[in-house]
Amino acid sequence: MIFHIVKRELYDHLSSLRFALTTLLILILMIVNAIVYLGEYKQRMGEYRGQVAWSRNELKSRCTTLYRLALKGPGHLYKKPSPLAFCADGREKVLLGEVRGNTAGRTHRWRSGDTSYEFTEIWGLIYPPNTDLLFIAEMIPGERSIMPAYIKIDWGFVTAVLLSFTGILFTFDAISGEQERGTLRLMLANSISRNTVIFGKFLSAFFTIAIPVLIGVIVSTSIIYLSEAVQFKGSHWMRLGFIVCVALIYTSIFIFLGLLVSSRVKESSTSLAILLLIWTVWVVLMPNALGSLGNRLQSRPTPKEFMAQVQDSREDLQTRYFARIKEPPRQESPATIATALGAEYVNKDAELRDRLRAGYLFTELRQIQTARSLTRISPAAVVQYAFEGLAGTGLPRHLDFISQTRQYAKQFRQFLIDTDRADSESPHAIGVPEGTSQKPVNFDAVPKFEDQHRFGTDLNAAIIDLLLLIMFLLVLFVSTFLSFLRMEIG
Amino acid sequence: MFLVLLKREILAHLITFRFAVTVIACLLLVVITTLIRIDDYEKRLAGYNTARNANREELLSTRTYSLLMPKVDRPPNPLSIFNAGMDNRLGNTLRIYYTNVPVLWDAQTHSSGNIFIDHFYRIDLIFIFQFVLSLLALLFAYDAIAGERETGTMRLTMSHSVRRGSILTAKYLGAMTCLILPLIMSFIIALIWIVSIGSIVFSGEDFLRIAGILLTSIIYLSAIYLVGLFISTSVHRTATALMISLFVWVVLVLVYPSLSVSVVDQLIKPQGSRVDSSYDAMRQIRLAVNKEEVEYLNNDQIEGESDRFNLDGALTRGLHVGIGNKRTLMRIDFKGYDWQHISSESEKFIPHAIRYHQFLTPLRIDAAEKMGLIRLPTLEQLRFRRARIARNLLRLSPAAMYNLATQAWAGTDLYGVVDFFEAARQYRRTLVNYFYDKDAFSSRQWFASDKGAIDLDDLPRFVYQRADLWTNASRALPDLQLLLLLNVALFLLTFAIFVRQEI
Repeated sequence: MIFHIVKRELYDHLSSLRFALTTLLILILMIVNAIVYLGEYKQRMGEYRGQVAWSRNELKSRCTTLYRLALKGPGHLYKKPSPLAFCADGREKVLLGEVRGNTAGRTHRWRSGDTSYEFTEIWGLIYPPNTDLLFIAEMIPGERSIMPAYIKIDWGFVTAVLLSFTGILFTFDAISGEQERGTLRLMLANSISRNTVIFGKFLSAFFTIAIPVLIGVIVSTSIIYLSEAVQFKGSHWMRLGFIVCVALIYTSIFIFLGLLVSSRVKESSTSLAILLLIWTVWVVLMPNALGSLGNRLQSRPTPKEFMAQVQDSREDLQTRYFARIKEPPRQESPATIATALGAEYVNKDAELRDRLRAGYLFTELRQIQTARSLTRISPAAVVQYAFEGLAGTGLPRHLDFISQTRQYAKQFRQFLIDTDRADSESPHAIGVPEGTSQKPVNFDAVPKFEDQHRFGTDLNAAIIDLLLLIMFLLVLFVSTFLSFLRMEIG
Repeated sequence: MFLVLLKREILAHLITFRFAVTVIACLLLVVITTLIRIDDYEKRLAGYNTARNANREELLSTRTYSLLMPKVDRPPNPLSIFNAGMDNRLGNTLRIYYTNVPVLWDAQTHSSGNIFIDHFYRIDLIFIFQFVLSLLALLFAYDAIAGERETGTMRLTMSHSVRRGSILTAKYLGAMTCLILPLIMSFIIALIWIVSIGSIVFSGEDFLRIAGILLTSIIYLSAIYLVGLFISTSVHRTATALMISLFVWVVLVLVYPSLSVSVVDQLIKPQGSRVDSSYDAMRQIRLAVNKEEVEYLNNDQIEGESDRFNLDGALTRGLHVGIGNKRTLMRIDFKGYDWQHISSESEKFIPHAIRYHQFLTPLRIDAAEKMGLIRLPTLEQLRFRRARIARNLLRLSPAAMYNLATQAWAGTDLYGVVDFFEAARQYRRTLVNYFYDKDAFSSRQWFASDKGAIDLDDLPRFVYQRADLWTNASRALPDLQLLLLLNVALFLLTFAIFVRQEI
């Protein structure tokens, strides 16, 4: 029997105007997105390759001595653009595609009587772009766009906004409409259980929306795949599969919401008004309005305060060490006390910088995490985050990138120590030129950074959002069934 | 008869459930949004005040003319509560160097917001009206004609001696009354809230601007209602009218504005060659000045190729700024000195130093102006043109027209922000004239404060006032006219269809 109901409803829907309009709109948006994306990806990938090649060359030129390598390191580290950014853009432009390395090599002068010595800062990571040397940041303004503000039209937008909208459109009159016309009574007069009716309604709406979605997905993926600008691997197809599943789960939430409201309200025009309002507030307004509250709930020192704090801690460290250093470092093996202390100072300073900067970055990120948690009241935000996680863009990906750069920085430091150890003539005090191995370094042996897209990590980031979506779905599913079972049909 | 129809229409709308729900939702959203926006404004105002005081202090501690590089700040716009626009997105603090003609991209922000969060799409009052009330307008309109035709009440009405024009007008006026009601209530609630908090003081002109925003909102809602009425008239079934209306709404309000701008942003890129050639031309100007400097230093009687002229003493502050950014064609070269003590032996070099500055500084100023003459039109071509194309494309959607017009009223549109930079350029000219008036380049105080610091009492102050009401109105006018035109066209079209229709 359920088969009959689904079939009947499906025929109804497929021949309706709303189906035609939905299909048209989804197709147009997905095709435009794919075409715009192709150009964008080529450009981003070109930029990324250029940056990586440039920084490799720089690294190679630094291999003349180990000290130079320690001083400038591998420069900046770059984030690899995700080929699936057409699914979820994830505001990649705001998050920035790099973690900067400190290559400025500023010096700190140690003095004792007539002798003086300049200690030079060694390479370390500088994460947040806006605290990168307040002096420079004050001097060089950011590049601001004067384009009108807009929301990126990606699969995330199509899903979050349009699919939820069509979910409502196909269900607002599903029950209240039939009740108005009296066909619901007629149907229930047969030996059909209410469960079957509601399930049939759900399935038919679901299939009706799934058809344009799948067509859109296939068309837009084929455009991108056939252009050969983007290389897909096996894991990418898996990610795409997950993304389509998430989109369908999300659509189901709104189908159930539509059925729920439709079964509670007598007139279909009222149920539409209520649904549209819920939709406007829940899907359009909430994800945006709640985001700006993140700043308010989590406080954070201003960049100026932070820079002052960094300055203080570093001066403190400097005074402590400079008081203990009695003579300038000398090239002598084994290292003199002064050489060892000097090297220790330079390394400690680098560590301190890294620790403070990372700490600041995390206060900044905590704000945005709070903002994201708040917006998770809205399934539209949840689905966007799930998409970002699965597509390997957005904040979780950025966090993974940062943790990869940290890992790499550690590995790089270890490499410096190991190489120095292998040289028996070196005084083994990396940090000052006098205490470091003078031999050239084999470029091939130097660890190189390459940003990896790790499916496991990305999925991990998306899992909470997936669970939340399923929870939304279950809650609405149960309440719809209960509501329909208890409904009185007049 | 007309009045009877009108009364019926109004009552029919007022007693509906959808009206009640939408109005309550709208008012709630307005309250919440006003609260958030006021808080945001206060934070920005506090940031502005701190920055301004700090800059003032920094300026007052300047001791020589050559180190005068005042920072100017753009206050937040209180009307950004209605439409945030570009107010917070573009730079609001700018350092004025006499060697640089400032543009929008030379500015920074003094707000210390989290860059990640600052990019969440901002919600303001206009956003609410644009979405919620336009939805209500469509819900009023979709069954206005089609519904009555279906239920047969249209025939009944027609059986009286009523002209079709009055039926249509009554429908329109009735619905508009019911739409204007929640709109005015929202404005009143927002204003009460703003005034009672007290931190924002609106001037008389601001109230007129708000009236302008209200007027634009009414015209916008009317346009959306007429779109719905047009659909309702031309379609036979209510259900069809509803579907078409809703899709038109989604496209016009939600999809199209983002789609068009993102396509322009991606497809129309600034041409690299134009940037290259302009930057190169600017470099040539700079090199010419440098050449003059080298020649001057070579030909003078003092040995050494330095602008310090073997002065001996305490140079407390020697500032040499050289920053550039090719993408925004920025190139600032700036030199400032502050000798607080000059030994008596090097006193004989002072006239040389004075002559050097007297000769070179006007050249630097001229070069800066020449570079500005290249830079401004190039940036205009490269960046403003894209923004203009995007804005013009946006104008296909009444929602975007509404947004642009209200931005213009509030003064938070691009041109409102550009005004500030125009004022900054003006101020730079004033500063240069001040230098000329004071004969600053040929004075010892240009580079040395050993004989006393400069007197800053008569230094012209930077004043920036938002554009006056008429400028705002004239900027809002094009979009307003377009909206009105759309209204008239839709009404006439609907009328024409309705009159010929068989009932």
